[in-house]
Amino acid sequence: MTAFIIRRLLHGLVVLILVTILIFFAMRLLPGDPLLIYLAQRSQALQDLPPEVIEQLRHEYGLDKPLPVQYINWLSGIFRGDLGDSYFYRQSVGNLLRERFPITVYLGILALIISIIVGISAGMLAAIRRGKWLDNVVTPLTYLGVTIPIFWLGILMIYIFGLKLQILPIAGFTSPFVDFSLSTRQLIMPVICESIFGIASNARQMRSSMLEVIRQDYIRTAWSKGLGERVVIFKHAIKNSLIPVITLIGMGVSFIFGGSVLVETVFAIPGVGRLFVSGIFNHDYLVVQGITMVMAVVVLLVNLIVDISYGWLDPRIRYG
Amino acid sequence: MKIIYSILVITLLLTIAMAGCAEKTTTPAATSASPPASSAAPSVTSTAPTGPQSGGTLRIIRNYGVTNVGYPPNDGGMEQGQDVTRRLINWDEKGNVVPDLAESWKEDPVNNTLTWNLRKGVKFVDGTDFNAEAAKWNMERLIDTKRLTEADKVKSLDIIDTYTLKMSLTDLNSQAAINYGWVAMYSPAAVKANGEEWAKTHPVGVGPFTLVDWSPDNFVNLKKFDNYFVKGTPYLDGINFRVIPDPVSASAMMEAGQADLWFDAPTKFAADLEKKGFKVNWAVTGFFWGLFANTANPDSKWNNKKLREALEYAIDRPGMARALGYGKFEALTQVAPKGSTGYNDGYDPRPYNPEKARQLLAEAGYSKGLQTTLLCSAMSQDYATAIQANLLAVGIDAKIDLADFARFNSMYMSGFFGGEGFPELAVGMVGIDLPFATGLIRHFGPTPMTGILSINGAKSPEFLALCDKLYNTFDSAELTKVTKQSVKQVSEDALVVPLLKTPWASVMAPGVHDDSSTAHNVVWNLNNSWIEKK
Amino acid sequence: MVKKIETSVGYNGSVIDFYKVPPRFTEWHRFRRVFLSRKIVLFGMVILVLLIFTAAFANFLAPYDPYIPDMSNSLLPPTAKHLLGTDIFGRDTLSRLIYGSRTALAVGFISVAIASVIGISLGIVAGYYGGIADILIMRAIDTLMPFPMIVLALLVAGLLGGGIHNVIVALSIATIPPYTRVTHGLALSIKENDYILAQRSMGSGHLRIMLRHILPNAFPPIIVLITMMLGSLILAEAGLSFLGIGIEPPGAAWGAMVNDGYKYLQDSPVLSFAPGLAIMLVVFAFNMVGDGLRDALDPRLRGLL
Repeated sequence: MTAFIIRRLLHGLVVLILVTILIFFAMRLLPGDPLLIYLAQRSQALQDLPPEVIEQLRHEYGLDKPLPVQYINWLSGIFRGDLGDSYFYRQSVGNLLRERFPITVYLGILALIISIIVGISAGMLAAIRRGKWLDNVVTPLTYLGVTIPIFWLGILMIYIFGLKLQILPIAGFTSPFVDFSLSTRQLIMPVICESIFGIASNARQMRSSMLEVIRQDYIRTAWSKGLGERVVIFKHAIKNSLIPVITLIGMGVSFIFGGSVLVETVFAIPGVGRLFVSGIFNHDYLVVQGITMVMAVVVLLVNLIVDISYGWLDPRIRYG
Repeated sequence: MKIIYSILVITLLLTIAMAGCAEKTTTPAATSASPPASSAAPSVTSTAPTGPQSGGTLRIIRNYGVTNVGYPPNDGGMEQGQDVTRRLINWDEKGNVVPDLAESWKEDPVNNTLTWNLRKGVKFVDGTDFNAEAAKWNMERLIDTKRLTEADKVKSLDIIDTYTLKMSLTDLNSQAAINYGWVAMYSPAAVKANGEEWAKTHPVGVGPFTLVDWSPDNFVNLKKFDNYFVKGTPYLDGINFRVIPDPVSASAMMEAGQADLWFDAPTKFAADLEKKGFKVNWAVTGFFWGLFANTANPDSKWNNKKLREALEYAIDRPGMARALGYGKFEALTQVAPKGSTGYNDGYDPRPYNPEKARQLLAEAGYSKGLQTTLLCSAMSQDYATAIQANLLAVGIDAKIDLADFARFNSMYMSGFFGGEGFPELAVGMVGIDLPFATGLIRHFGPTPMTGILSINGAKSPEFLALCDKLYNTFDSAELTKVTKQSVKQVSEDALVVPLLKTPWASVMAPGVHDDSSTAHNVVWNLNNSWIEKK
Repeated sequence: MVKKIETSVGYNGSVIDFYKVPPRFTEWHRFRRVFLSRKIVLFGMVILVLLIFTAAFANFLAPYDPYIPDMSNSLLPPTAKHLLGTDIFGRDTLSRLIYGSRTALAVGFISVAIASVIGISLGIVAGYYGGIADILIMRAIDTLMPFPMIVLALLVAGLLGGGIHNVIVALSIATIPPYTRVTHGLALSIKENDYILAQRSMGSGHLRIMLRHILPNAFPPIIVLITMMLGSLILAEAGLSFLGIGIEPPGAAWGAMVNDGYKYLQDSPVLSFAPGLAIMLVVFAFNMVGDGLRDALDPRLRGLL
């Protein structure tokens, strides 16, 4: 087991380094000079920068160095815990991420928890009551849940709950430590948007794997022994149905981050998703690189945890 | 089968829900007759003006910005510097330069000096005095870091007395007071005591407000500075800026009473809210949109002036303004909007005339029409779509190239740092919102500061001579005359097709009094804004 | 029990297991019976056929020109003349919706074609040759895996600029990994089969073995993957258009229509609701057909259906 974890961590490290190379050079290939873009934003405020200042800024940010040197500098900075400075925000990427990541993570974890709890229980109920009305309501909804464009769902909800019924705040984010009730009300719509895909896919998977498990011999044996429904379902069926769902949850982290790019744009939430989009549009190299790095670490770790949890759920699985 | 049935039912319900919602909104009469309770019709008109009241926090929506605060050498203070400190000069609503931290200034074209007489009794937020020393320090910081416009012309800065600062220049031009007066003043003591890094995010100015906390792209909280030099002001206890990039959300927040003031609201939304009873300030200035043709490249077909004239005749600018402007856009006839200094009354050199455009095309040897590309960004996408249709009608087949802001800017600002330029046509904005000579020179002069060099080929010697004259005319009546001539010459040269002026609008919730944005969109001053007590 | 070699998560949110011995097309009867047995799958098929029909005959079906502005008819509500109203430029929403189906299909099919050809080739080469090729290719694919699809597409689109062609390239690159991983696993297991070794000893070339013996085995899972991918590609294209990277005006794409119509939510909600509904319906159809194919091709469910 330990050997397995170590091997996976080493493998993850290799992937991580490849990710840094990919993202670093991809960003440098983006057409357009980041400092020029920065300048374009400034010139509207009536403050002009002569070309020599741009050259000086280029020097300050080390953008005048050869690419491999820039890459090494960036990488060695990471090991010192320094992600560099944002050209656009004129402050350290570390600061920006400390400010933004908690928001995205808070939203993401809420969405993940909701998608797990609601998804699994809905799928389970649909499986137990197969063909009954509950199944006939839940199952079509899960079909719709994986097909709905989430930005469109966001717009739909803003229109209905924000504009027409006026029962929820339309956009924005408030820290839960500042105003918990406002914060929670602001989060309802974005969290639904981010979790809808997870809920639907978890429910679908849970339903089908549960149906499969219920057909298995040991469950039939349990029934025939006269055990109650509750015991059979909770003691035997659920645990065995969870394995494919766990795979989904692992992927869910990546999906939720992808979703946050759209959801944070629709709901004006200052998280990393929006920062990432703005980083791409403004060619804010180090911001995009920093976010990608952190995201890759999270995704790789989650996948490792998922792999380990297989063993807990199904002792037959051995780590070779 | 049941599943299909259920899906159909759900889809049907959704459709019905939408149709229901749609019906409500497509009858504007109904909505305006019964506005939602929260967006109560303003009661301002009925109450007699009682004068400003103190207190309250103004919740302001901004669409973008708030990327950095701090003091200018670190490129901070782009936006919120407006409220945490003042500059030597300011503009009034007519576009005249007026004193602010400078009480007056004296231009001496003979000796090439500019002398600033500073306001007395002004204190920085940290308690230190604003004086010639502080002004000199701020200017020097900008000169050292090359952030000051025309910094290379400054020979020396001399403190004559505590409140007088003399600038010796290599040559004084008519725009010097504007260029050098546009320096925001920050406390030297605070920067020296806390260091440059700290100063990047901690602006210490003269007020009227001072920074409490902020988060990039999210919010800025300001509180009142009690010792602001205009006694009795500011009226507000604080300001709370929030960045809401999405106008639908912003507009809904205004309607739901979740915000008090919306700065720079897109025209459509401001016009809609105005219809619903919100007070809207439509500032005299705004953004100027133009259609540019590349003339810097000697091989460009657009070096043929007839073609550029054909472009201008082909575009139905009043039609565009009507269709896209909600009655608030101005169709431009020249590179100056109505009411600005450079505006020539009744001058409309090339009104919409597709016949004439076709004829000019034929004269230029393109009787069968021509193919071209039209660069635009998400901001100008709608204008580009309208232009494309107009051009197609006269035989110009323009393929739209919708660029993200990064690519757009690096092409549009072309030539500045060796950018590749836009190959053919571009529709873009210039900040020629400044209703005076500076704006003209900045954007169209011999070395335009906004980097739109792609149109340089079309500039005639006459136009360049006029630019020179603008720099060297100090008499204000004479300057106005030359400005008007220059504006005319831009059209004579067909440098650019002036399209539209889009207004700068700020929307106010009932009970909010604010005219900060009526002066100029790069200058706002919330010092005099106030909120009625409920 | 057949040995599982690869688990992949479909972008439509279902887990697809790939087994060592995939079913062959010889079981055509079972396939047809299973595939056609579920009404919802047929429903999906009908929508897809309609979609393809609409896209093919858009110019006959659309009541108005989708591109030419008619400023005097701007923002009309739905009427008998304009069933879904008009947009700010006075263009008929229904006509644009119909033309938008071309964009959706073009993005879907072309991206899938590019991504699957590249992905499958890489996977087979990596799995069959093993060694350094395997390591290089699979590490490269691993590098793409931590990126959510939309993020990767956003990055590539930023690199290439907007426009429909670049969106297709961006989405193609972003969707290569699943194809490679699936075929890699299959190639690894199949190449150990005795008959492949026999072929080798009889002097068959590597290329011949890969094309004649490994590729056909990979078809069933790949077809399932492709169908499911089509739906998610259309979703991703809509997402990119929504973020402002996508088709150039005056072209019609559903995601961009949602985005453009969003500004007029208060004036004419149908402008953004209708294209959103269209996206949903088409993605739904692709998913259903994908599900049907999986059931019909997946040995795990054999005998149960």
